[in-house]
Amino acid sequence: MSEWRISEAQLHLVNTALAEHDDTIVPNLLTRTAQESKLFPMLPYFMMSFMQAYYMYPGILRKASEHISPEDIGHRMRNSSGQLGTLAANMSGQLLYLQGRVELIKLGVLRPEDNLEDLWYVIDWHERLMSTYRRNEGHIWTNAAGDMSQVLDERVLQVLEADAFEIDDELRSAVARFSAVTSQYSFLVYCESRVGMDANGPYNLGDQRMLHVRNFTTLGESGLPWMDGVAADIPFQNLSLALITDDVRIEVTDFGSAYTVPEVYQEHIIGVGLYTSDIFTDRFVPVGMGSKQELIATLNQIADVVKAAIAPLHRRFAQMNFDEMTEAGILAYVYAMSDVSFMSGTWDQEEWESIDDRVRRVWPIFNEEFGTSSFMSDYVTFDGLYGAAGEYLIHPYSYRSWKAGTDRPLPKPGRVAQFVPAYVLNDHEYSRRASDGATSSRSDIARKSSTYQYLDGRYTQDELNAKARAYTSPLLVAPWRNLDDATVKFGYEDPDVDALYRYTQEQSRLLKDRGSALVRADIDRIRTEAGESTWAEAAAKRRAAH
Amino acid sequence: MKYATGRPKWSFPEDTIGGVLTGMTRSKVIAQVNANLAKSGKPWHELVNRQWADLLNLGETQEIADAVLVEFQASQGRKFYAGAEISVLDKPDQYVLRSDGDTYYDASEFPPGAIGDGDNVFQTTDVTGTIVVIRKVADVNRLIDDGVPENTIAVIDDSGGTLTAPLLPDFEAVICLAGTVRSHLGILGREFGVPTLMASRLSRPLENGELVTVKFSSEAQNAEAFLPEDRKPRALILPASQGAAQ
Repeated sequence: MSEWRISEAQLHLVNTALAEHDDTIVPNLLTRTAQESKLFPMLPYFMMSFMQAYYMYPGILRKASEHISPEDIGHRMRNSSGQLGTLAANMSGQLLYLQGRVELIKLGVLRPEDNLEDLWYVIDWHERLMSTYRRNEGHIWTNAAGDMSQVLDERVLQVLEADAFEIDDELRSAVARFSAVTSQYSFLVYCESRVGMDANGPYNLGDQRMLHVRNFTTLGESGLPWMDGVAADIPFQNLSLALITDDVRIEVTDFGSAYTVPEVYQEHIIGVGLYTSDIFTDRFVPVGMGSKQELIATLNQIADVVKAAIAPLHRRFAQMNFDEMTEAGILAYVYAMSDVSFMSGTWDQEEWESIDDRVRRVWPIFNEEFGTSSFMSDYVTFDGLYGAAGEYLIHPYSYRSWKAGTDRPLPKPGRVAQFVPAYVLNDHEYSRRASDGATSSRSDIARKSSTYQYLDGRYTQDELNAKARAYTSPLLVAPWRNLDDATVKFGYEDPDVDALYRYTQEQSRLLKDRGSALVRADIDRIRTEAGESTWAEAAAKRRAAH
Repeated sequence: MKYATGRPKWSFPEDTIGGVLTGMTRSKVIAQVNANLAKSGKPWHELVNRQWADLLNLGETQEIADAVLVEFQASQGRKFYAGAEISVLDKPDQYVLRSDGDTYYDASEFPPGAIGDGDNVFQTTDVTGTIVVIRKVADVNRLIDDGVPENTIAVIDDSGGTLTAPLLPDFEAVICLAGTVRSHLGILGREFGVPTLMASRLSRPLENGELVTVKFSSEAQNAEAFLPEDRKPRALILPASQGAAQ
C-alpha cells in the first residue's frame, strides 16, 4: 500500500490542470460533430473507453516510466511522427483518463478525492510529456496556443520546406486521392474515430504561405487485432504529408485535427513531401522523394494498396456483434497511448486487449441512448445531479457563446472539472491508486496473432520489447537533446549545433550537409540553384492561374 | 469533515437537456451504491478499489438496466434509439433505429417544387442523378458485390465515414440526412471530391430510382456559423426536370 500524500502545492496544480482540461475539452467537443456511426455503437464505446483509461493508464505509465521518462517520449515524438502526436498524447495523458474520472464520479462509484496518487501521477506525466514535445512553443494545449501546434524544430522544418515538390495537376490529383483513401481507411481502422490521424503546424513560410504536416498512423499490422491479415500488404505503418499552402487559414486542435478555411484546401496546396517514421527512427525518412514522378507514383501505389484493404476490413467489422464492436471501439480509443508501451519495451498484448471488470460492470447500462444522453449532459449542458459547480459559476466557454447571443438566459453554472476538495490535506484519508491489488480483466474479441510492423522489419512481441529496450539515439542524449530552437537562435555557430543539423539533413535531397547557419532565404537560393521554384514563385503561379 | 453523502449542495433536476435517461439511470446507480455502502459498514476508501464489487457489481447494473428500459418505455413510449444497425440486430428488445423515425418537413418550408435542402460541403457544379438509398450494412454489401450504378446519388442517414467506406468514391454525389459539414462523411466527401450535402432536410422520402438534381453550385456552408445570420443558404434538392430549368 502506497504511503504517498498529496501536498498543498500538488493539490493546487491538480485542480488547475482539471480546469485547463475542462477549458480545452469543452470547445473541442462542441465544435466537432456528433458522435455517430451506422456501423459502430459509438457512444457506448466512447464513454466506456474513458473508464477503461481511468483504470488502465496509471499502471501502464508507471510500468513504462521504469524504462523511459515522459521527457524521453516527448523528444522522440517531436523527432518522428508515430502514433503519439498531439491527439494521441493528449488522449494518453489527460483527456481519456480525466474524462473517465468524471464519468465514474457522475455514476457515484468514485469520489473526487479518490485515487489521488494516480491523479497526480497522470497529470504530472502528461504535463512533462507535452512540455517536452512542445518545448519550442511552450504550451501544453493547442487550445491555449490559439489552435496551433508548432512543435517541429527549425532543422526539421527547413528540410520539409526545401525538399517539398512544387505541385502540378498530376501531383495534386495523387495527393488528393492518397489523402482521401487513407483518411477513410483510418476512420475504419479506428472504429469511426480520428485516433489514427494527427496534424501539426501551421508554420510560417512568409506572405500567406504556410506549412503543416498531416500524419496517418497505425496503417499496418499493429496491436489492433483486427488488422491481422487485412493490413499485411500496407507498406508503411505511419506516413506524414508535408503540405505547403498559399492563402489558407489553418487550425490544429487538441484533437490533432487540421481545419482549413476555405475547407476545400487542395486547390491552395503549392508544395508536397511524403515521409515515414516510427518509434525506431529518430528522423523523418523520405518516401518516394527522389523525384516528383517518383512521388506521384508512390502516392498512387500506396493509395491502391490501402483502398484494397478497406473492403476486407469493413467485412471483418460487419461480422462482429454489438459487444465485440463495443470492445473493439474501447481498444481503439485506449490504443492512443500504445507507443508509450512500445517505446519503453513493456508492451503486453493481452493486457492491452483486455477490458477491466470494473468497466464491464457498467456495460449493461451503457446502451446507445444513455451514452448519447450522458455525453450531452456532461460535456454540453452541464446538467444533472453533479453538473453544478457552484451557484455563482459561469463556464468560460458557455459564457463566450452566450455573449454572442442577445436575450437568452445565462448558461447553467456547471463545468466538466470535478475538483479535488482541499479537506484531503487535513487527514489524508483517501485511496491512493485505483489498481493496487484490484484488477481483473478479460477480452472477448479475436486475439492478435500476427507480428508488429516497423520500417526495418516485423517483430514478435518479445523481439519488439527487446529491440525497444536496446534503442538509442544521439538525439536523446546531451548535447543534442538540449539543443532546442532557443539555443540555436544564438548558438548556431556551435560545432554541436552544426553536427545536429547535418544529422537531420542526412537524407535531404537539397539540404544535405548544409549545416546550421541556414536561414529561410538560403532555402530560396538553394531551390533556385536546383532549378526549382521558390515558394513565393509557386504561390504567384497559383494565383495567376486562378 | 468528509465528503459524506455523495449528494451535492447545488444540483439541477435530472430531466433537463441532458436527457431523461441520464437522470433515470444515474439516480438508480447512485442509490444502489449508497445502499451497498451503508450495508457494508465500511469506509468508502476501503470499498472503492479493492472491494469494488461490494459497491456495485455486474448483476446489479443488469437489474438497473432492465428496470430503466421498462421505465423508459413507459414514460417515452418507445425503445432506446440506436445509431448503429448492429444494436437493433443484436438487441431488438431494447432498440429502434433512430433513422427509422425520419422526420419530414412541411413542403412550405422549401421553395416551390423543392424536395428538400442541405448544407453544401463544397461548391461545385449541380449534379443530376439517380437516387440509391443506403441504410444498412446489407445495402453496402450488395453494392460491393454488384457495383455502384453509374450516376448514383446516395442517400445516407449516417454522418459517419465507415458504413459506406468501400463505396464512397464511386458515388456521383451524396445526400446525408444527418451530421454537419465537419462530420466524417463531410470530410471524406470533400477529400474525395464527391459532392455532398450534410444535415439534409426532406419534405418526403427519396425513393430508389428517383431522378433528382442537387444544386451543388450553392455556396459551401460556413462550418463555424453559430449564429443564423452567418449561415449560407442551403442547397436545394429538386426533381430532375425542375432542377435542370433552374
